[in-house]
Amino acid sequence: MSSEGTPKGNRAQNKQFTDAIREIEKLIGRKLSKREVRRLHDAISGQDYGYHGIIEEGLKEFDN
Amino acid sequence: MNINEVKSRISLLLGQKAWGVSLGVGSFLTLEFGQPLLNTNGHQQVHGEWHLWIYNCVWRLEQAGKVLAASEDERSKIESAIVRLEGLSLQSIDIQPPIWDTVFTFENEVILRLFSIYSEDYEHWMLYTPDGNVLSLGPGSNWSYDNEAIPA
Repeated sequence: MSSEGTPKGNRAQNKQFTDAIREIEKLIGRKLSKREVRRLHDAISGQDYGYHGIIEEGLKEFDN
Repeated sequence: MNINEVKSRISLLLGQKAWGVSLGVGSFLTLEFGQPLLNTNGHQQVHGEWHLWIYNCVWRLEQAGKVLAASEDERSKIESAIVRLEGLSLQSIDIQPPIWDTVFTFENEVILRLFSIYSEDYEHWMLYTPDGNVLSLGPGSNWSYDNEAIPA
């Protein structure tokens, strides 16, 4: 878990999450399904992840 | 499928009670409807047959003409306010063109108003349906009803 880079403001945090999804997709070379996006959101909700933390968690889940 | 068919499909939600209402990342709200599904994803969240995800839009929650909370409020205020949605049945869904601003009206005069703010790049809200599809409204005037029947 990492809180580094967590932006102030809810809307900025929303954008951070969706931008992190795009970076994960770039790194694993495919689009995540909406069910995978939901799974990642479930995994990180309430844990104050920063941008890089979300990416790390996404790679753990989906980079097989 | 045109937007009227989409509206007709989501009308199956009407009369169902919201449960598991939760504030996720930022101002993301999630609401469950229908029977709880077996948790298969290894995380603790239990989803309903229908899973509504208020995603990249801004929103306001009202009751009887009073504002309970809005999406840029402090988390503690939002968390207290969204409890009001628990157990309330959904009475109507109004989706307005051209960019799908949406109003969910619940019993007890509780209203969740969504305002679409991205004309490109980000979906406004998504509805995971019991048939494995995901209805996405946005970005902009776009919408999709994707088959994702194979569990991820």
